[in-house]
Amino acid sequence: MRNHFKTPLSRHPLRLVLMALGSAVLMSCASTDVAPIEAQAKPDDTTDEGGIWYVTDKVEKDLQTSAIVERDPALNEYVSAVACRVTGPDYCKDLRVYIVKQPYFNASMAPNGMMQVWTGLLLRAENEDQLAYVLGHEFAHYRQRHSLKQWRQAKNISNASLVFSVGAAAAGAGAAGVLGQAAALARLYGFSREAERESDDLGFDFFVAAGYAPGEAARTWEYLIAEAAESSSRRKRKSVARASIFATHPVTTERVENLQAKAAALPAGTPNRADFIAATKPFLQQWLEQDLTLRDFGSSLFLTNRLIEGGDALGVLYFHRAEIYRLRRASGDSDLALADYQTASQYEDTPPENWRQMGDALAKAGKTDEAKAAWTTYLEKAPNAPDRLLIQSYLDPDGA
Amino acid sequence: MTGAISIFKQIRLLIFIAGLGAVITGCVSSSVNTTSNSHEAPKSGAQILLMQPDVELSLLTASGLREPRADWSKQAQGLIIAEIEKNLAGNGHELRQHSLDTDNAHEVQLIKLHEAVGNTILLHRFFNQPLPSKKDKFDWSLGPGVATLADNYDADYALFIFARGAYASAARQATALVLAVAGVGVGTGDQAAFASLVNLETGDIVWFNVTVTGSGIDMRRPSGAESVVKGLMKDNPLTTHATDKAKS
Repeated sequence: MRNHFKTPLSRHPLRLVLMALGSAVLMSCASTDVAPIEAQAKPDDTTDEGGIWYVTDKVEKDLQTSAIVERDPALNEYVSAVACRVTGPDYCKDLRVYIVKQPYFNASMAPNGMMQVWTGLLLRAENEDQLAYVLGHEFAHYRQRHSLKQWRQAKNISNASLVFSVGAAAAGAGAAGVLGQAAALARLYGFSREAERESDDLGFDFFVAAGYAPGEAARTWEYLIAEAAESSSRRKRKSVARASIFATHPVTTERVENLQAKAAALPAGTPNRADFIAATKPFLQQWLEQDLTLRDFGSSLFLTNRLIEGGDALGVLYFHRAEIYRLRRASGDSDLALADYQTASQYEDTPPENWRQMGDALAKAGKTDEAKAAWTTYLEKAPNAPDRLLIQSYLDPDGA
Repeated sequence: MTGAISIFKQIRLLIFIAGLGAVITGCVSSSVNTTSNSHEAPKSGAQILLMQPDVELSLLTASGLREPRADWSKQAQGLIIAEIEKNLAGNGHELRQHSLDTDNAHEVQLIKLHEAVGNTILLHRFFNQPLPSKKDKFDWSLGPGVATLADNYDADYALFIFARGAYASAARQATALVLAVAGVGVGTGDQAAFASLVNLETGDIVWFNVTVTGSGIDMRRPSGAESVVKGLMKDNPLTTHATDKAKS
């Protein structure tokens, strides 16, 4: 790296080159001070924002035709209505909400108005108010044009770090060049937190203005922190998962306290649980099954126990908890699983599979007669079960 | 997940472009592949379905970030369509433009399938990661499921176009000048595109071509789009067929 420049200019070339480079780069320094986007506004095609929309429109087209999107009309109508209540009628037309079948707690906002709500979030929200707060937070990213700000910031930082790295390389300080990059990255990250803070505040205002219960905003984060602490994955317990909302929304005590303080100054309000449960209940079993595919038994158990405390859909929940124990196979789990299959069998909404699994568990415990009774109930409840012949062979091994 | 894969592929494409672009400023290079499956040359009067070209042009910022520009992309898309029409005119074939019906799930999947196969060909044919199973042959195919497109549009072939390009901002050009004085070379733009022709009876990709140009050619302008499309349509069986016929 030393003596990098051996041109005739090399007596004092570095300062000259850096000055010239600095002014060349400054020609393109973009303003990061952008005003909120107006309702029903579209950027001009000739701008950087127009380019960002052009690219995200294509991403949206791909998403629209993807199998990963939950298309159930009733659920989509419900979630979109909550979004509209938070954004108000004008901005409502600018947002398109997609429910994405992913078992992580996440939601995201694209600069063109494409909002994603992941099913892992719907599984973990306790009421409409908690959902509404997250949607308000995401809407604030859109309204404040955070993507555009972030892009311009990235552009300016990378321009500045170009000057810095050329200067550092020329001065023979390779390590300083690397450090320059690290510092630039840290600044990008810092900006992102700033945007999160702004979205926390604005999202809170939108959701309170829409009439939701202020205390529910912090509760979502409190729950997520508690669930992460119970995770079976040490990495998740320590740093909290990638591909979850934490990756882009680092939850800090400061953020939770900020929301708690804002809520404390306002009347409590009553969260709307009934509508939320009615809209999401038909999907509960499916979402729980998807959650279990992550094989994070600690976090799944924590979640299921909290849902059981909620007191809705208990047949589905006890069956699911039994399945967690069955798959975890820790010492004593067979007994726990059997107990939960038996509890589940007392409810109306229990899936038929509960009796098949209960039969298997009873047979393993040596209770043959009770096992046969459970299998018989299974076939009564699911006469077209794909494993009917197999179960019949258990009931009548001789095939009489 | 899929995003990460396509970013990876884009990076590969950029490396590819950067290497070639530096060498061949102002010229067009093509790399044609034709199917090794048995295939009849297109009959005269074949119906060609032109899928909407996927075009994304960007501004190259001072430090080399690529900032997408919607107006340039749309403009180049229009110019490319016009040039393709010109290029295929007089070959006895009929060209019709395809507009996507997003409710037609099967059609949507076919287009996504082509994108996946096209990117795979790019990666393994052009980015120095050859597949042992594809040695000495080019038998890529979307399968007979493409017959839906043939039926719906009464077409014999589908032509897919994918193009990317970047053009230096004033600041980038100034940066390049300043650093050139210091002996550092800085790229000031490049363009790359690929085209593939799919037989809608068999699904086979019968012809596949990649074109790379240096910064001297600008597909935002009619003359540039003409050069790019000329390079892109090199040795395509639709034009070749007409030439053969003229010879015989």
